[in-house]
Amino acid sequence: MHKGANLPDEHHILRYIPKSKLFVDEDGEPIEPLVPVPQAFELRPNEESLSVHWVEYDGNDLTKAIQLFRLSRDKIGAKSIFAKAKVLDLKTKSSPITKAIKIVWAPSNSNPAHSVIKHIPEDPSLSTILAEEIFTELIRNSEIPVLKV
Amino acid sequence: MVHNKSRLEYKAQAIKNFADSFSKAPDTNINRQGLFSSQTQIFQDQITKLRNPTPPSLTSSTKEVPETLFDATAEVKILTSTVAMHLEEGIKKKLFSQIDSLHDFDEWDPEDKPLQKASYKSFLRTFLYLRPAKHPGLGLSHTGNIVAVWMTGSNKLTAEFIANDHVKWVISTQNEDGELERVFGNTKIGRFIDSVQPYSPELFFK
Repeated sequence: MHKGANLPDEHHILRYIPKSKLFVDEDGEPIEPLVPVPQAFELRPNEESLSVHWVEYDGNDLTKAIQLFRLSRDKIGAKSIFAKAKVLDLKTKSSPITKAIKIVWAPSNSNPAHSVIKHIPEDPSLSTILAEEIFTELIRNSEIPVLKV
Repeated sequence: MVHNKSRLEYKAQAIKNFADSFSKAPDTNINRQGLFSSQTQIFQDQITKLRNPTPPSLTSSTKEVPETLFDATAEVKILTSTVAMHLEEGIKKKLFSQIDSLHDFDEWDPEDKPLQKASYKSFLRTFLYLRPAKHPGLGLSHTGNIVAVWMTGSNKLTAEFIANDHVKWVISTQNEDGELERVFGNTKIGRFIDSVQPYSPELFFK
């Protein structure tokens, strides 16, 4: 597979969500069950595509995939989470808003599994759909064991 | 009267000249090293700093993340305290717990912006007007806007508060067939309640 290639429909991607993008209750604890802020699926002002992590980059092992992501970052909060989506679901469920979305492999120096969602329109309804209907499987960082390298 | 005024003006000019001599001093080593004692030089440097403070735009860019978070937290807490007398009992404590949690340094993503005062101001104004019986969940956007959520069952009202009294809102509800229906809006906070009125906002706030 070459850089810039579309990820297979049956594969999965993860979006990293820090605690500040989880709704917290009046005691400052993340609301249970966890509710990501839809804006966690919006582009930052200087971004052209949404960063995600390709789960099946090195086999079909979620723990290994998250371990690889951890190695690419200086710090990951214990209460942060990963929101998981299937590539096909992302294409299908976003199609009423846009059919232009592409999920492509875009390895970086620090993360060989780095991928991006391209052609995200400036439509506030898309981030809500991404949060509520597509990236619905939420994995707590604290629940994924640390593998020895 | 005229005479008194001119004397005052004379005094003011004398003080100004004296102060100017301090501000010119850093460029003249003779003055610094030859004429003033070391104690006076320290005093002179302090005056110079006061006369030419570093612009906040320069200091903020060099701030470390914990300092930035601390400053942002302090700023919005002070803002909350100025209106605390208008808040129901215990609300200030709840808001402070949420702000502290969102700015938790151990969990912070350095690519994000902390809570922006202008966004929080829009939120606080809406909150004071609404006085919701149900306290909202709070989160942040990448750009530091505060996002509030009120949930009841599978229905959800989400509102992102933006600077200058703007709010972007979404109501997600489940219809009788179990399908999700959504309504979006973008308005000034003064029109927020009117905008969501057709969708039974009392279900969320009470």
